[in-house]
Amino acid sequence: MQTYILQRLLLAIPTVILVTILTFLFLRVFLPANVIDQIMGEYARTDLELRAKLEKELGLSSGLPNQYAEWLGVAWFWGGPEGVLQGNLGESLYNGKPIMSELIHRVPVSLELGLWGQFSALALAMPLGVWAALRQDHWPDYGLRSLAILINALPGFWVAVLLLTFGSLWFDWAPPLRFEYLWDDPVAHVGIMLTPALLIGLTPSGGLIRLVRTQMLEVLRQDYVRTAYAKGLASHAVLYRHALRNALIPVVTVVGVGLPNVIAGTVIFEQIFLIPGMGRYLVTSVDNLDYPVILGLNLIFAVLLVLAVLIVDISYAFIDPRIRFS
Amino acid sequence: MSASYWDKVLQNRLSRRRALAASGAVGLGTAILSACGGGDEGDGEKEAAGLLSPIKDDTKDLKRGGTWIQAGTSAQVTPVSFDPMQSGAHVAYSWWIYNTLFGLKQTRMANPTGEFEGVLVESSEWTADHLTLTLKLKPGVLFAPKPPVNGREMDADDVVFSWKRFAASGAARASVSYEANPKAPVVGMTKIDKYTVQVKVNAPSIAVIPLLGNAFTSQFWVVPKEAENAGTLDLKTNPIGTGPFYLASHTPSVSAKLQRNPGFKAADKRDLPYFDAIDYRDMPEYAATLSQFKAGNIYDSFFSVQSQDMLPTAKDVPDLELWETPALGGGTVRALFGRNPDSAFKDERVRQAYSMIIDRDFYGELAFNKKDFEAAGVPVNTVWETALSPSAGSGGFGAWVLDPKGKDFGENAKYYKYNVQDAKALLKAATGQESIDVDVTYSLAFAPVLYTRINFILAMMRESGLFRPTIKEIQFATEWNPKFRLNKGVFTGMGLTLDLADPDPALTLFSNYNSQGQYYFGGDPLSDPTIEDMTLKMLQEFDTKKRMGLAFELQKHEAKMQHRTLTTAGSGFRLSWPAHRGRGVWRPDYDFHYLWTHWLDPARPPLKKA
Amino acid sequence: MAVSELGGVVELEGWERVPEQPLPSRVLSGILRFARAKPLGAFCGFVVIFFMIIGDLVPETLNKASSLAGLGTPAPYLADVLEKNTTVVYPYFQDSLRDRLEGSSLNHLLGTDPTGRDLFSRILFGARTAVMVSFGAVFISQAIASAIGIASGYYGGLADKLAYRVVDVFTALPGLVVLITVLGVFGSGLWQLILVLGVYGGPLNSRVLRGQTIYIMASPFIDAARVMGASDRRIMLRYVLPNVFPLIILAATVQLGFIVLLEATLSFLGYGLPEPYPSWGRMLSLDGRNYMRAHPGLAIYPGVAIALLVFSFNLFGDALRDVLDPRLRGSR
Repeated sequence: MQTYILQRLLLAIPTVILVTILTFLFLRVFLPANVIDQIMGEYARTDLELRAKLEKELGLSSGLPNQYAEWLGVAWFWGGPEGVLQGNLGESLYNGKPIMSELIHRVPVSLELGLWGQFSALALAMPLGVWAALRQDHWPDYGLRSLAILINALPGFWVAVLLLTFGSLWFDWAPPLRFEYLWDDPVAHVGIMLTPALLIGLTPSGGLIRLVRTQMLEVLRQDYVRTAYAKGLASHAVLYRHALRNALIPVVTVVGVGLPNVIAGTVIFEQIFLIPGMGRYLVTSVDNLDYPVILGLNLIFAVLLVLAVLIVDISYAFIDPRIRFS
Repeated sequence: MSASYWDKVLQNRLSRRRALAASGAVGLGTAILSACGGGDEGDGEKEAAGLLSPIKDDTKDLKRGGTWIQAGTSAQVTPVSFDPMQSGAHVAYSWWIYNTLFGLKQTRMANPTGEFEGVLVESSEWTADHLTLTLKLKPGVLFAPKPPVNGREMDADDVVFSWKRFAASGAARASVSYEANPKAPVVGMTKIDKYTVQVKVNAPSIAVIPLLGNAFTSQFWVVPKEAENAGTLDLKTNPIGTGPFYLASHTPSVSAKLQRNPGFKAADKRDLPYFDAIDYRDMPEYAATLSQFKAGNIYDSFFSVQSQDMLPTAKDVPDLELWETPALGGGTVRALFGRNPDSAFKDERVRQAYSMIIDRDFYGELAFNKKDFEAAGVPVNTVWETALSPSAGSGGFGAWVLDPKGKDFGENAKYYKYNVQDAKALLKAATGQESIDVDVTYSLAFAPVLYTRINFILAMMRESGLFRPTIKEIQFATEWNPKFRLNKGVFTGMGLTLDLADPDPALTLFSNYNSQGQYYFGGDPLSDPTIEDMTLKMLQEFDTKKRMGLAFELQKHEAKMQHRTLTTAGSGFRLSWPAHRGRGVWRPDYDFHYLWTHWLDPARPPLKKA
Repeated sequence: MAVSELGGVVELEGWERVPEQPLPSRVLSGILRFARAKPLGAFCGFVVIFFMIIGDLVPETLNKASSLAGLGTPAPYLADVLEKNTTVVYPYFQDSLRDRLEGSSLNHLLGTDPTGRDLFSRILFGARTAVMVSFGAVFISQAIASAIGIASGYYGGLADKLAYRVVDVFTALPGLVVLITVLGVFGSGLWQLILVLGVYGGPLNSRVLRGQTIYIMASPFIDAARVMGASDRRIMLRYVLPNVFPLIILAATVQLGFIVLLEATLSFLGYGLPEPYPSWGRMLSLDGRNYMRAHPGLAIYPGVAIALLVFSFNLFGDALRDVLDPRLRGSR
């Protein structure tokens, strides 16, 4: 077991590194316009002196491998600046704020929003999926499946904007303007996160309903369920004690693996509901071509994803003995 | 309020993704109004009188204090840099945090005259030969109480340092500094004593004071001398100035908090500003700004309500007040013509043809929602723009614009009239064809308003049948700037861009039409010698009436050249909460500057629920 | 007994050979069976085909291929034909400022947009971009997925481990984040979008195919083919590929809907297709957003079009999965 975990961990590291190298190369080498253009505005391509000066100031003038080494923190070992390995993600090229401290505030917010989203998707999908499975091939099943697929087909941001517009028009409703952190004002915080979380959970809930349904169907067909019925257990006992738990394992897997993507997908909802998470930070920095931030964010996203996959793999190993001993 | 460059660039700076929200176009408000259960003819009639709130001088009710809550796009609230001498979407901050030496003269409840008055300058005097300007600074003006400057007094050292910095690396230095551009007037500034600065000019020019007072186009803001060393004070990240507010805190992508600067008091008798603080919120989503404005969580409608939603919103929220801005809104779009040998627009007849297929009255209707407003009983006025726009200078240009519809314009007025027949004949004579393909280039860095209005122009071009536009959307910094804006006409086809004006009409004409005018769109390499002459003479003409006469002559002459073609200006409207007062009292009342002179009334909605 | 080079039995004494039904009629009877078993799915299949037709998928592909070969653009577009012959379909770029922002009428079935372009026509022509982007990206994506999946499952060993690493890296890349970065940097155009979406999705889809390939590799007929001396390429193409094909189809149908939504999302954030493409996502994110209050049709109709297309893709894919997926055989 330990070797399995160790193995997976070790494999994860080169993956993350490759991701950062890819992003780094991509941003520094293939960029047609860059950050200096942004800062210099209209004289960006004509005032070469100032350009050279700014490039030097911002650390964009030394060679690429050097820049990467500095960013990674490898250079620290021979007297260079701190880098990722030392926990320093650098500073924003524009406002000079250290990226790490920004992310410390933002990552929990996006993570939380993503979690709430998945949770609400699950909360919606479970009862509906189970019901559809129990009423398979009858009208509730068809209706729910179609509804699920319909929900899945709606662009989430479209629903959000519709909600904002018509909520305001018909109900004089507007989401809270100011964001409150959980530790500052828990009640307000929940109020702020509620609507976007529900909306984030809406699209994946469609897929989850179908998944829960499929899993339930498969489980209900199993011998041990038939045995339980034969033993004389009431149907709801069969359901909750035996069937549901087993049915949910792959569902939880999907939810877990889906989480980092949901984090990436919170971008739009953060923008619409004014939530200061990672997504908005990313969009702003891509617009501003703020290299260190884009790099840092890609790194964090990659790490989160790899971690999520790792956790899922490891929990699989715990649950399914066959994998442990393969 | 004037449609100046930075007002518009503010909205969205450098990427395509920004040209999303659009304003200035009309929705079929009446259809929606009836769908929402309102707007039958009888009511419309009665509402007419009450729909517009008049501008009243409510200074006697003045209440100080409160926090003004404003929405802005990400490019504005979370800018790339706070450095005021660098161009960018952060100009809103510059308006609040810094001062220029001069500013447009503020008048109370009267239209602006276009004159300048000192903001940091108490008095100024030219020598007889108009080559030296002596400035006496206002004593007791303090910087913001922020380290490392800590609220110390501004003096001549700061002004001289600001000049040095500006001349070395200011974005707009070529407009002002002789060192950067021999056609620009100011040679240097020296300190005479603590409150006296001497400005040396290379040739007599009326442009000097406007340039030292024009925040939008010259960006000569007075910064503290500590900024000399970026280690001590880095203006990119920590802006400190003498302005009415200072940046107290800034959370990227979320908001900025600005506090009242008590040190500004000595600069203005009115003891501005009236608010205690500004809460500037980063809100990129239009649906969000609209709903927040309707809920009364943000107070300003300029960026939060687009013009097609103005009437519907006024109907949705009866508490809101609709009012007309004292100055006209500009037509926004200016056409630039490429002068490459293979560019059809090299020939002035083609440019005239373009001008004549633009139905200026119809454009005004579209851009200013004439149909909707007049259906709601609110009259909308539109005025043709010539080489100058009457909306510029926050309305101060009005008297300088010669109306092509009037009898004084002369025979060249015909180039402004909508006439597809004659346009076709001109095009045929110039190119031998009845219809030509043209490349139309524009950058989406500009405001959404521009995008909507560009579409009107393109639609008119297509409908006329004379021009078949091929659209080219390009990036601002890497392509638009070097290849179109700063390239002095060396391109093919045409470009559509934002109209920009200095607050001084003669300076505007020089910057735009003189081949050495270092303005945003560069000069024109094949400039007409008559125009060259006239623009230069205007700058040296210190008699205002004579100068105006020259401006009229130039407009008459330019109409035939159509170097840069404008459109139509029209009435501007704003929607405000009743708590938002002081509107339109002090003029010119332009964007961001208005936060100096407006105030909040806690006894009115939305601050006090009725 | 005569055995062909590939191990297929050709002749057997005393056995009558039943001629194999020709492929077209097999496909047709398969479709009919499918329609009877899954009526809703079949219906949605028809909706998908409908979108493909109004989206001019075939003419567009043919034209693109022939123009690359230098032969011009011979294939006619249905949308163009409709435009010329009916009064309700206009060219999607035709402005008419005097008719701007009108509601539904006989002249304009869904009303007009802010420059007077007919909304119904724009949605019709927008189908072309939606269909092109989704089918194009999915095609490229599945092609790459098959190549990587089958090859790595077949060869195994070092090549497999390497490919797995690459796939891992792609999986570790946060999707929307990467796409925004790439498109924001390089700009967006129809073919850029197709390429980026296709290349990005390729490795992600290869895992399942690799798994299935490994499963197939254990089959006896693979061994038989090897013994016959069939080359690697032949085995992969002739034996493995047809057997993973159902999985490819399944993955493709799921991906189709996903790509359409992804394109809409990218447009909403500003990274979608530029002028003059009448993309639904762009219509939603530009006019839709600004006129949500003043003229809701502009926001609602493109949204409905997107939802309808994705819904059909998904329902069809669902039904198809119920029929084709070997793993679900028991739970129908």
